Amino acid sequence: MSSSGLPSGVRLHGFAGIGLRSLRTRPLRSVLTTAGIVLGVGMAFGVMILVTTIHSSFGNLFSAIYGNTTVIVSGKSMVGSVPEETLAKVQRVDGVEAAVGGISGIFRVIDENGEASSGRDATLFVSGVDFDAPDPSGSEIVSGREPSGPRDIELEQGWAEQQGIEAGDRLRLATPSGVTQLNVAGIFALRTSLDLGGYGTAALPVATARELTGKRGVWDEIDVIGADGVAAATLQRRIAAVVGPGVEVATPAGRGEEANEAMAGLDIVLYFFSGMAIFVGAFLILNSFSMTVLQRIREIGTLRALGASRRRVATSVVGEALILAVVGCLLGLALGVALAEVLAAAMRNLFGLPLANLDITAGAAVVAVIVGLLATIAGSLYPALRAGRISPIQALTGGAEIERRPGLRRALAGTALFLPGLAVGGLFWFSNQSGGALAALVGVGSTVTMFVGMVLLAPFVVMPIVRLLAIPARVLMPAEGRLAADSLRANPLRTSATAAALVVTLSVVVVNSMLSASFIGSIDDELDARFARDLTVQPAGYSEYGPPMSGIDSSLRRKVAALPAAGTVTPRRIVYMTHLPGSEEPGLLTAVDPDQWSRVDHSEYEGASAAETMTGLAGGGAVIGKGLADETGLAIGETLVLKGASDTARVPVVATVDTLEANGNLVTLSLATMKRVYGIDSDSVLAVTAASPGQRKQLDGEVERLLERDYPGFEAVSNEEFKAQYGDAIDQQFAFFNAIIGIAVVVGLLGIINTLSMSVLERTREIGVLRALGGSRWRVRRTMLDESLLISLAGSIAGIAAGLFVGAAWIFSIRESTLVGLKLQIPAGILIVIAILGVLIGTLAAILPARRAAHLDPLKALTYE
Amino acid sequence: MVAIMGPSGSGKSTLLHILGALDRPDGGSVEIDGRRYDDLPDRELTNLRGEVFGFVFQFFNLLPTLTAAENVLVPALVNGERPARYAERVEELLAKVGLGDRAAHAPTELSGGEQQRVAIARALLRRPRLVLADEPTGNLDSSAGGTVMSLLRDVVDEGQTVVMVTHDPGAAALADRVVFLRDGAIVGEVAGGDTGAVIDAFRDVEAGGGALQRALA
Repeated sequence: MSSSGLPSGVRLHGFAGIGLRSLRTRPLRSVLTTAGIVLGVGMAFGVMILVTTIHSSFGNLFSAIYGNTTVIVSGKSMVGSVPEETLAKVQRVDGVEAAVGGISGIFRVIDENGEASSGRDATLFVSGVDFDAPDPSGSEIVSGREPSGPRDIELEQGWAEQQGIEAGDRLRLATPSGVTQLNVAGIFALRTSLDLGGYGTAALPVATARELTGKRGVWDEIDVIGADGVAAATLQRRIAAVVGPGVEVATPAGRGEEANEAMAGLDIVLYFFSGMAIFVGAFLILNSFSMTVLQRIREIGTLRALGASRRRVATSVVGEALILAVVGCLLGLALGVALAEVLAAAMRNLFGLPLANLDITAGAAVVAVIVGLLATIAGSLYPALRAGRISPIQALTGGAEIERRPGLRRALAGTALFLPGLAVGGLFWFSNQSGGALAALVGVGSTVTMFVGMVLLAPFVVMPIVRLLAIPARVLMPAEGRLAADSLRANPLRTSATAAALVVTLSVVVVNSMLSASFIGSIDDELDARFARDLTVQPAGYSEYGPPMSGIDSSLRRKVAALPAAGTVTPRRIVYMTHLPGSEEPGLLTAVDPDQWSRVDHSEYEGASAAETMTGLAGGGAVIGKGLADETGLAIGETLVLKGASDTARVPVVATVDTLEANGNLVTLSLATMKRVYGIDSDSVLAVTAASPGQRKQLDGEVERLLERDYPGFEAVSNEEFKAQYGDAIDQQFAFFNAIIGIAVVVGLLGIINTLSMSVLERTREIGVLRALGGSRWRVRRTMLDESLLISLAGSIAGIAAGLFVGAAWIFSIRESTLVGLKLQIPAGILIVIAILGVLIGTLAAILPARRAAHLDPLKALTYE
Repeated sequence: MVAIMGPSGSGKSTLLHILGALDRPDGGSVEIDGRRYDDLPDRELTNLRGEVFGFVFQFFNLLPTLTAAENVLVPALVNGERPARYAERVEELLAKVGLGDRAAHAPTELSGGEQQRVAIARALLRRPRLVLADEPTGNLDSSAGGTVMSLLRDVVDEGQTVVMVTHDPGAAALADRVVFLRDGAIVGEVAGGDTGAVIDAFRDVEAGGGALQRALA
């Protein structure tokens, strides 16, 4: 007897040990299955960290910047500016200890080469403050002194250190009104450290800020310090009573929440795409354990004959899976942190989000692990039940279970899940996403239902494709091609289950790419039809959907207009609003000059001619986008209520416009109306035409020189460049999501390796015959490679087909409802990439199994039982 | 010990499956020690298989990933029992089947005869009421088959009841009774001991069974 009390030769401590032992005899399959879990959990955890980081970044940002502020008074959703006299009204409110007006702007640092980079590190959020008044941010000077002269500026410590700037240095800045040079008087630190992911913050005297930003007669915000003993809520109520309805009176914490709410839609999309990896991971487990159970029929039958109950056999399969899952989850957590780092960097760079360092919470880790374990249980349940159903007689007959062919019931169930999932899922993704958590749950749930339907239907699509692809394979390589195809056809369910992981993930890539191609293509068409300008002057790197940018001071507009080759120079003012007037939807509030706009823009309006529309705008009316009109039911002639920071106005809708810009969630006013209601009078972009068509080239050169000399923070883009930039902005969003799905595609790849190595095991004898009859190792490798390519190509083609079907269905349905101008575009380039990816995946997946097959000893292979 | 013989398709294996609670009969009833068990639910059949019967298979059916000693332990493991309780029993059984020194060997390191001896030790672990053997020598050469049969005989002499299906008249002759099946019915029986008598009776059954039936009549 051994010391442990176990019989000699025994190292098992119980029944579970048998399963553990069998995991060890299938190292490749165990490792691949675990890797699937690692990737799934990693992606889920990574995205959870990312979302937490996004939210805590905004939360911390507001509590850091407003360290000493009780209440913030500003335009709703931080849009627009309040009239100058509001400050005095607020100061008179009972319980206000101090109220300080601020002017904000975005400047760019000019480097030693005279270039103003549009990167985050060179972007400085400045506020003009009254240094004699109490400091609402609660900051402290850590070196140098507070600005005292008009050319002084103070910088936030973290950014200054990063940039290597010290008190006493000089800073050259590109501002809305041109290049300026300021003295760095001092460096300040906020109460809690501030991490804007690279962006800098600075403060300078309010008069200087007004001069550099061109904002006169307004305040962008008023920060209020409450008297001792006055509750913030009380103060909020009292102040709200003296300011207009379009003015927001919020606490810093409320501001943080508001910013986070605006990100809720993104959260859902991120969770959904990361969920794909988990979904495919569960699928890998399902496949892997189904194969294991099939392979171990006799063993399981023996255990049943020796008195193992159904339940014991079934739980041992789930138990084996859980052992892998625990290992996979732990590794997945480590991977998740790494992925979150990459994703956060991508979000900073692509979307300019001010993300701080990762915020890793134990809660997220627990949720990721639970999700991983649940997926494992879900994936292993079916194989476990199947194992439990194995009869003890199969121990004696040892017969391999013949795989059932996919039947009518499966087809019906698949269709019954796929079609409603498609319809409801589509409604969710393309309705305006303001339905809250329940709508999100239903939407994501039905999309997953659609995928499950896709998986069930996979054999009916994948197998015909395999048969079709087998024809050229057989012609090219008579022996190997046939062997590979036969092997796949002998196990139709396994083949299609393996391919299904690719079908699902690649279909999402196709849908994504199709949507972005269709949006970009249709917007290109719209801009072609609409743009009558020759070029656009805008802050460098400007995008309507991108990070906030500096406005354009009127001095630049005047200087461009004074150029000899310039014809019409007219601004467009664009503000992103989290809630459009009369709506809960986000969208764009824009303003144009009705006298000039028709010369640079040929939009077609509905309900009025272009001339009538411009007259209507000049008379104080509004043009609304089709998307907003559909959502609110507002018709021409009805009244839109604008609650701005400066004033509230009831304006008539004079026309609607069919546009893809902001999905039609658009309100256009005259410059005068926007100024009156929202207090905004700095330009976002300038539309410029040449004095005559022959002077276009000359205009380009003149504008280019002007910007280079005096306004390095701005750029002039041709219409072609404008379209390309617009497309890039859309593309980047979809590319980001596709990158997340990429992880799920990798899990699909693992699935193919898994199936192939099972196939090698099953065909050991066959391979032995091939080798004994003089087949070379190369031939054996070829068989495996062919099998792999057949699966991966069939999966890719079915994925493309499924993606095109879903994408087309969704695009047609949104075209019917909201985005009438949307044209279906097939992203041929992406489809080719996916097909190449399919070949690549197939080749990659075959490497290990092919090696194993080629190195089988022919003699042993022949006697293999 | 009872040996069951008969031509292919005579129902030997089916009888063994039904006896061993692996399968249910289409009609009739099965009982052991006065307890009927053909109509029990799967859970109780499972208990019966674990506690009342021991199985020896033609293809040994050892679990390839376990050692010889671990394989002997399997009936205890599937019943959720702690291995330590069986420490002495496993060693005693392995010694009895002559493999005391091979406890830590994997099945692939054992010969066919040795594997079947491990399987016999496994069948005896929980002291079953009845050991059922399905062609225990069917996959062995004659010398290994002889060793396995004499081991079974020893077990029987120690008081263990064994029912065995076999094609091998030599093996059947080691039983106390040899029962002949044909088309699912018992068509004859001879006492064991004399291989020649078993061969004659078997030939007769294969030929149609006239002589035997006349003899029985």
